Amino acid sequence: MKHKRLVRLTLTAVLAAAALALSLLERTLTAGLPFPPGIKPGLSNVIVMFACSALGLPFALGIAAVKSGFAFLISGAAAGFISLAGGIFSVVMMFVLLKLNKKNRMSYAGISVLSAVTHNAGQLAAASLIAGSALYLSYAPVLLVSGIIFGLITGVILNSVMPAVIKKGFDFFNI
Amino acid sequence: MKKALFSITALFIAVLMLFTGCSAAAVHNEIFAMGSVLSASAYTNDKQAQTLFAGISDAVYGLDKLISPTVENSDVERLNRNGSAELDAKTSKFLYDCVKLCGICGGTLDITLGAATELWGFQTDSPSKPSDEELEEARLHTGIEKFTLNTEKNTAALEEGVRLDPGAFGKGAALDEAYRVLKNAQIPATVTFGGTVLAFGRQPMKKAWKIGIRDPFGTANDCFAELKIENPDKRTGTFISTSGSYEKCFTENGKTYHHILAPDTCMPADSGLVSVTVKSGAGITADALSTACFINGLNAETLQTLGYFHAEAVFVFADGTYYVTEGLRDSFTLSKDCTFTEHVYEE
Amino acid sequence: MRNDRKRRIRPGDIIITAVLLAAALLLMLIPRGKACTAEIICSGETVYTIELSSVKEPYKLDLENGVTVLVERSAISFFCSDCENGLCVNTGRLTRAGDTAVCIPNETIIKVRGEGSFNAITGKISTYHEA
Repeated sequence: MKHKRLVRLTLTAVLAAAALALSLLERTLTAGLPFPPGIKPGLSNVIVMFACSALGLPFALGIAAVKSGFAFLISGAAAGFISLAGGIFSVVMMFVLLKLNKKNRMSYAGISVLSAVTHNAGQLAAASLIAGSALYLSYAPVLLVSGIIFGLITGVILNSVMPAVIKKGFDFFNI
Repeated sequence: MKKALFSITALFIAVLMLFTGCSAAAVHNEIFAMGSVLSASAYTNDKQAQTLFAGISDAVYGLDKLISPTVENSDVERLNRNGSAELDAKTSKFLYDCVKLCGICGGTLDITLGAATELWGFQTDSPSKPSDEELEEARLHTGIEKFTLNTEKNTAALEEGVRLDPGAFGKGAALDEAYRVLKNAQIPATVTFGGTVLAFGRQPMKKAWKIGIRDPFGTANDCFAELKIENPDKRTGTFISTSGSYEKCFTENGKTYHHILAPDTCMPADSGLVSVTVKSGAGITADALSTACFINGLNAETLQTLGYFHAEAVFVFADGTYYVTEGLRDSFTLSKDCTFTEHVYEE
Repeated sequence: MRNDRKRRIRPGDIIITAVLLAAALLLMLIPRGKACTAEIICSGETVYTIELSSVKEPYKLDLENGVTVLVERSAISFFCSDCENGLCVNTGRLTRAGDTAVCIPNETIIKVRGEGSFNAITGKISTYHEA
């Protein structure tokens, strides 16, 4: 038992580092491009989704927390809070969907889309809370669409990656 | 299981739709000052916005009470009436800035046009063309050298018959005051006052402010072009001011006269332009330069002056052509149904 | 969970994406730009808020300060005013969200609520002393 938990913990740490690396990569790549504020490809969500699926809710939340801490260090308390809100909502959504997916009606694509959209909604809600008004909500359609698009992308990525991971003999800790 | 899926998504959509039904993004406010209307739009919650508006209101009225030539006992009114006056430090600073601008702009900008503007009667509702003798007399009573300002003692004096008209500077200066209030509050906002706009900070969730330039040949709500203004941070403000001959003009004996007077002739400026828009980092500069550029027309001297202030401009000519200075071309977009063509300008 | 079946797109994915896309489209179709609600503000107080979309016949509103406003199905305008310059009336009909008109001597503003295409317009309202 202890062994399993330790392995999971270590794996979480490594994954968190990988998630941060992906975030950084994403920032550099999209820096010059005309991305409206708040829209991100969210490549690191592949990792978070994997963690949620393979390690369990608490560990996935841990990765989300690390990502928020990162945002806090780089861009300040507001950014950290917004990231945390989006992260928590999306991870919980991922967990709920994975649980509900026993009959396998949807692949990681659908889960990813919903969790990306939830992530954006959480961020929007947090930003509005900070500003104290429904300031940002006219932005909702944009975030919805970008959540769908990028959610599909990351979901399809994980769809392709998972079988390879399983093939390698990765032992999924039964959540 | 499908049911659960559908219910989640339905709930989700419901929440989102609830969101978009909510209140508007910006809080608006209008006040009347300096013979015009000042409208502000603040991107924050209602409470903070009202405090902001009160602050801006106080600052603008405060300035109005000092520099308006029509407010009884204002510094400028007393100066005009008595030929000399003691000034508030703020008035003194304002007049100093005006004089400096007049100096740099050569003969195209003059704060001592008071006698001429009164003669034409543009501040009344029945302006008329003065006779040649009246104009000659007005010219004798115009000239920045006839105005003395002592910034140490905060006093000023005017030669006999000379009057100050801070019209080309006042609203820009008022926006500078609003800018100070905004800098303290650090709230993203736009403030529009008498043809000049201050875009302050960064609009939430958007890259740049979209500022429309009024179509000189259309009505007040028609724009012929748009400027994308992107402030680098939440403490920067950009001022955009337009001077145009389309408002405040009258026709007499078949000829149309507008209200932007050239200081050397005391007649409406005849430079072929109908509107000039200037973008600058200071309100009083933008306001003054839009007038100066209008009077001087599009030439090397004007472009040099703009360059000196690191300002950019858009010129619209009476023949339906326009010219945008280099630094502003990236931010400038002509409206879809606008039929203006580019004005060919050669050094 | 054993996920060897997850490598393909499944019907659930498509349903979710379709539903969300529909929602997004719906949200984006929320009417923007056309005049819906107008406000008449006298000396700082909003005296009238009018739903332009529910106006059947055009009618005039005589305000206490000598201004008459014309209200139509998707437009509002200054009809006449006792101010001498008549700039307010000259502004014409306000038909888009964000359009405004002002009668400065009577301190009256009429505007159509909503976000226009611009955050602000420069050169819009000048005054007597603009020199």
